[in-house]
Amino acid sequence: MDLMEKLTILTDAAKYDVACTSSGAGNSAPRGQGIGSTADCGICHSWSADGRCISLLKVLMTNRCVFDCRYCVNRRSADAPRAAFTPKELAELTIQFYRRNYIEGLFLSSGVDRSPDYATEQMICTLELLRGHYGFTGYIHAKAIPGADPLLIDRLGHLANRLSVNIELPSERGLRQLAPNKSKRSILGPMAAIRDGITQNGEELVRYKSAPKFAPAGQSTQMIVGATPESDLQILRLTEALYKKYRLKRVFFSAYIPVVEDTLLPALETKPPLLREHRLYQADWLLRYYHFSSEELLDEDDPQFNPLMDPKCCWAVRHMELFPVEVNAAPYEMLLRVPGIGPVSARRILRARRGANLDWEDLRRIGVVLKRAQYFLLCRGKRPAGLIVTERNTVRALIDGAPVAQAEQLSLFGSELSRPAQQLREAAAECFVSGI
Amino acid sequence: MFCQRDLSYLYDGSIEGMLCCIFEAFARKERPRVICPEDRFEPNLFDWRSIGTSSAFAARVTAGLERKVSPRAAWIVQTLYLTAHPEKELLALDFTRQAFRFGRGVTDLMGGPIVSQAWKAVRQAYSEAHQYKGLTRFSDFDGVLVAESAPKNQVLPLIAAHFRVRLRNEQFLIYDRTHRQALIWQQGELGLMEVDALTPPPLTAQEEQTRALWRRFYKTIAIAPRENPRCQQTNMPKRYWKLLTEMQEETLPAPGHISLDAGRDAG
Repeated sequence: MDLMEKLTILTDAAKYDVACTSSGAGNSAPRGQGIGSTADCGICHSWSADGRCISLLKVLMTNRCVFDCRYCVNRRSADAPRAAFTPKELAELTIQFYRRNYIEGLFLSSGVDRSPDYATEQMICTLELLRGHYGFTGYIHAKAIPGADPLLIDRLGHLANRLSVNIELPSERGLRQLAPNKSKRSILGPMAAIRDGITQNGEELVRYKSAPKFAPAGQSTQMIVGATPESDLQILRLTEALYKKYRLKRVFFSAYIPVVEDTLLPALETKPPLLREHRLYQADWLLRYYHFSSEELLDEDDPQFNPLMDPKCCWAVRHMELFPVEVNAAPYEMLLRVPGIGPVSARRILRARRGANLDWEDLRRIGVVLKRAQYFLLCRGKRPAGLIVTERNTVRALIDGAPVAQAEQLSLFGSELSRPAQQLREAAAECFVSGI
Repeated sequence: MFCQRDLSYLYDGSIEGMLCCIFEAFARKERPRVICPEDRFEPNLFDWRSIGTSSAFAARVTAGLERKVSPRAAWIVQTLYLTAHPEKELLALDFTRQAFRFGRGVTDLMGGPIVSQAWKAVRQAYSEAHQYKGLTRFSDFDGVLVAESAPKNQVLPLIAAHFRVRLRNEQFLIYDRTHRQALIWQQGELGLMEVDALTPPPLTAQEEQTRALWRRFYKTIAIAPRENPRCQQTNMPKRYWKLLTEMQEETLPAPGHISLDAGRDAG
């Protein structure tokens, strides 16, 4: 089989993996022999037709697999062409792509060929070639395979910048049903081991600067959303726990795309729940950068995200009593809670107000987008000229346009299909206000 | 007080030349209507003056900003020179005036019309440079890596260190079509050169094969049910597409077994 065919099969088999970030490895300035560096902010090298960024060469070592996870294209029982890279082929391909600046590094995962240990050894072999023979000092993200020997995972962690273990599904029940070869223990075990490896390595690095680094860009994971019936609240709580208990850098969500006909899974023609995935990412951002906790965003009475409004706006609408806040006085944490203001704008406001008392025009020039924020702010004690702030106006400004337009397209509103988007928005705002 | 003059300053187009225009304006306490490179000057009704370039005067502007204001303010003026702002020289002059008036805190005054414009131009240049760190595509011509770019801002000086470290044991050339300059890294020397045009030699078979593999990867990695051309275009605007290997028509790879091992000693 030629390289083109292998690359096609092994890319196709890897494409459902979500993580493609190359961030968090620090800015490196390696010298001497070799090739490659890392940039702390990560660098996207292209965007594919689905709008997702391409940063890493994302392929499987092999798609041969002894596991039979029902949702997976590579499961043992699937009728799919199989292929495997040799370590040399893959290392050379990575270098050739990297030299031409096609990619920021390698994202290597693998089917469980023969056994978790064998599959991991093949990955280690490739990474050793890259790090050793080619002197590759760029970014590598490797996937740890549940069930592999801890010593092998440790070796993998010393070769890769980032390690990840897929948690796969948001509940143990889901796992039992759909991934019979995996268990909560076989997934969380290596996750904890990697966490401890990173912590221990951190301590060693304090003592010996030359201690070999273990997964310096940290650990991430991903889970499939929409294949099993968990609520958004359950998923968000799990995410929060993963950040707190396992100190993950990122949790990724993947809207379930039916690739397999199975009685336990949604039907093949089911559309991937992209809006839900989007809302989960928004909430994930709120947990990591906006100091929100999962209880603030959802609760038992209201366990799903609102399709019409993002989680931060939903929170703001439920806490109108806290607003408006004065731009020139509000603390950073409070500015972050204003719809439309993110960490960048909030930091700029903090800096800009050191030397001046900001008015609305200043705020615009600083680059703060006021479309939504203006309903929640005061500048020098004043609202923006001409803006009438009522509950309804505010809610209307916060409604997320995209799903409304989509709803119109899909005629979710039934007979109201003929109504223009403006009116639909109005109707949506109405629902919202009466619901508060 | 600076007095507004109906006058054009002409300079040689270099950064030192621009700094000398700032020096001149301070020396004469005047603000010209236009500051522009000689070769881009369109004669108008008003008077013009040719400003000579002197390294000493230029250095005094930079040193003055660094010492009396802040290194950051000096950095803004220098970066402004690289930006695509249509009146970057006047903006640099106005910013320098504000810097000497407000001192250290000037870079924080982001609500003001001049400082906010300066920051915006600088930010745009850096964000374009960041884009080019990812979107630059090299082709291998007998061991020399060559890339073409067409940035709005002069990004080559902003991405030089990045590629020098990354491709430290390669030789490379990045050509900037817009500003007709090239960044060259060869035998441990980094240089920025004026280059009028670039005609790359024909592609080798190995280069064609690697390109074909990359295009195949690019096509295969997309998930069809998630197709989202708008999102793709927002992140990667169309003006970049003509520079990107993966966005060009697929040329058929040479027949036979494709092997990357052939012909390259990777050690």
